[in-house]
Amino acid sequence: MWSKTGLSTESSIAQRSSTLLLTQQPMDLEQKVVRVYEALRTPVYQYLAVAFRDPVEAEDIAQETFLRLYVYWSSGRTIADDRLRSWIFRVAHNLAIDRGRSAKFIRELAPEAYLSAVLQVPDSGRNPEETLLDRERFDAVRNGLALLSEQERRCLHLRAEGFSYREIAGILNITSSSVAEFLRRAMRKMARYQNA
Amino acid sequence: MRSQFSFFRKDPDWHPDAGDLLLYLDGEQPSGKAARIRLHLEACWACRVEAEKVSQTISAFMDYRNRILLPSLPSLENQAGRFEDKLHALAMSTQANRFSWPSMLDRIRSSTKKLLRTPFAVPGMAVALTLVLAITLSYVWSPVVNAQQLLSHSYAVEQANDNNPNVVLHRSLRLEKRRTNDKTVLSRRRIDVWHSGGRGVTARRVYDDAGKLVAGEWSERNGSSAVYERGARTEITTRERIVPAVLDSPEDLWRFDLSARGFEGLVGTSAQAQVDKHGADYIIHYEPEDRSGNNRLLDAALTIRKADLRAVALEVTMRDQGSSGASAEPGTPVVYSIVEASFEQRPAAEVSPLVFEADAELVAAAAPDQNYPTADLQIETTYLLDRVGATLGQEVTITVGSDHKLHVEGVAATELRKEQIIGVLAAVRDNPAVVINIMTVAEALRRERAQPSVVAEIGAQAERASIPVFDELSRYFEAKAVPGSTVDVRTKIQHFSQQVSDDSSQAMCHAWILKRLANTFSPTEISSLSETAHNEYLCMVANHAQEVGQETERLQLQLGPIFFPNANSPGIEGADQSTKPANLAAAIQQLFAAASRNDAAIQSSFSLTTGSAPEGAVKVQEIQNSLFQAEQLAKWVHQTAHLNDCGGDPPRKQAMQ
Repeated sequence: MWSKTGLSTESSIAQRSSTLLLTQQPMDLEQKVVRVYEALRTPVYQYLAVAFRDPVEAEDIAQETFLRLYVYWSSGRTIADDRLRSWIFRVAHNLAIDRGRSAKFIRELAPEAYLSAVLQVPDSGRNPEETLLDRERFDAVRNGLALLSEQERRCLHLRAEGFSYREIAGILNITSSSVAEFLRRAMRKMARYQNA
Repeated sequence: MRSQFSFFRKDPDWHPDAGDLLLYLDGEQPSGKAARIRLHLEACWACRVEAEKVSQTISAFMDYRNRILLPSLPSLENQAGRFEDKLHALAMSTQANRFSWPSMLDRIRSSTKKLLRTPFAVPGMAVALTLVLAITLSYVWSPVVNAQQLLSHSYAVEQANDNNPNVVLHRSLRLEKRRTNDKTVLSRRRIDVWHSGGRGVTARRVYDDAGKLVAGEWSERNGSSAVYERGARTEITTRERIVPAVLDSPEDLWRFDLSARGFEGLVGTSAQAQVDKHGADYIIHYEPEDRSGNNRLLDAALTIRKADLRAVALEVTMRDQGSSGASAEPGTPVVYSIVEASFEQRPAAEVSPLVFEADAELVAAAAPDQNYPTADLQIETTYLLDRVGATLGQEVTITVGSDHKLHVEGVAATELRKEQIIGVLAAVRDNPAVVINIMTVAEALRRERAQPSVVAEIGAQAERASIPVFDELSRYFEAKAVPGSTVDVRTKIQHFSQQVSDDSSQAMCHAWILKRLANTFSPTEISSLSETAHNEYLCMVANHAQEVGQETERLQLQLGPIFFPNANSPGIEGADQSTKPANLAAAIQQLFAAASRNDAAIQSSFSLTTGSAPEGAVKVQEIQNSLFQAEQLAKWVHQTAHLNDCGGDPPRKQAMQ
């Protein structure tokens, strides 16, 4: 399930944060930010890109996010290691909202890009029938995603990144029960096509 | 919780809904309810199937995300280096602002608040007071900002901004010229600057008081720039010359970069500059030691904003020469100021590329200047001379003189040749921007009677000289000689050497003209040529490239059997990958380099020398690949530049002889 990302549980998040070695090695602030940037820039970029469908802007916002981290730290404030990841995502998300990209949320992967991506999926020794079934499943998910609202989609992608409901609530500035409701609706809409 | 369990016990028909199941699967249910659902699922097949459906939906989504959605994203470019640049610039900026008043007050405020929250408010207040004193002292005793360091940090910020390919910078500046004594404004301009880090181009437009576009400059990353000015000449120049241009003519200050780098260029050295803190800004003052009449620059002050270390204003006091209409008394000091009115960073995708194109009205207004040789005129003149082969060798030179006129000067071998050259220039002869001065050898001799007798000396030397590859040629021709033939091998070697040397010189001449064509006209200039002039330019390039290719091919055929008989053709695969040209200009540069290499090796191997030069043969053997590269490059240039309607005559060898 979610664990396919390798980031599903609290423990794996904590483990990943600890791999940053932020507190174990003496380093100056710039080095510290660069270290965090190297570790988290890809998931931040991916989240912004899939949620906002603007990869160029996503990359720029991702960089801006880590510069904000530097400013935050340089002012003497601190962030607990196990909260660093959600802090980064929250700032990135807010920056994206500030840049007024929310209107682009609804757009799903363009048909030609989708087709190209499907055709490039490695077959991994699957027979034609299995490949066909895969494509039907992909179509179903894509159709289901197209039905989601912005908030439902954001919750879904953040959950896929391994964040807990509480963390997602912090990132999106909503309550945990709202996160649960958005995810429930998202699953219900997706299930329409999955079980069709 | 108790009531829930009691409800469960009371209602054995209770089933968790999809929301409950999702929370349960996500580990988000409270432990009591999670236990209840777990127990229920063990007992209820229907709910277990529902739970599996939720799991399958999640699984399908994750599969789609990992195999379709994320791989479809453009790969994240390796931007780490650029990020580190930005971060470093930010760090410098933050460091510079560490002791600003707002930040100091913030610290005091936050420190005081924290202390007042404690139960020991009075001792806390005492500590807070101590802290205030300490922070104030740290502010007072903060290190003096050094001008060089400040400029260096500001430069780092500029670099990060200028090289960001994702944004376009747009700046609006006000330029004023004022008298120093009564502050009367003598002239006022608005400057609009667009810079694209991705394309490496900058467009700078200057408007007068009425908002009319009066001049513009389009510059590229390599420093080349084209300046258009209404009613004035079109100038092709380089950004490196901006400082001398400004010092010479302060009216050109609109072309000046309001930046730390520009300021350093203007003052030469920032070692004697002083930094003042002024509110939210730093002001760097500079006064030259030499304030005599020889130095027009009297003082300069650059304002750098503390917040982002960006240069936002420049004030320069200079001695006025009284050259312009709105001027002060000659020799009196006048102040020029450039102040930033607005600055914005826009996403590159949202900016129209037209802002980087030269305005047609400006180009049209600048072009009719009859007394200045436009790029079109230079191309046309070169093209005409090229048709009679007068651009080859040193017969005729075309230069733009200090009088801003196009000088066509040369010495023709005969009166007939002189008439031919002048005749072909009929179309441009009456242009006031063209000065033609072609004379015959006899005329030149009459002007300059004393000529060194070089020919006789060379002839005398040839008698006792030999060529470095004589032995190789001798072996080859002796082996090929028909028994009983009366033709002397030495004569054959002489003819052969002469032929190879001539062919190489020819190739070199054409390659040299190609290079001159490429260097004389910048990409900006070429793109602004009229269609006719552009076609003429391309035809010249194509024709000369064809000549280089043919001469080089001939050299390979001549040298191959003697110096590399067993070697295979290097082929495309054997060619150096670096020879694959990126564009026409790059190909011409590569072609010139290859032709120069070949010619140097051939001339040193086949020229007469009185000393021993055993390395000659080695040199000529080394150029097999180089000859091949030159031929391939020449073909590529010819094909790229060739137009179907080039027609005309390619540059003729006989015409130059």
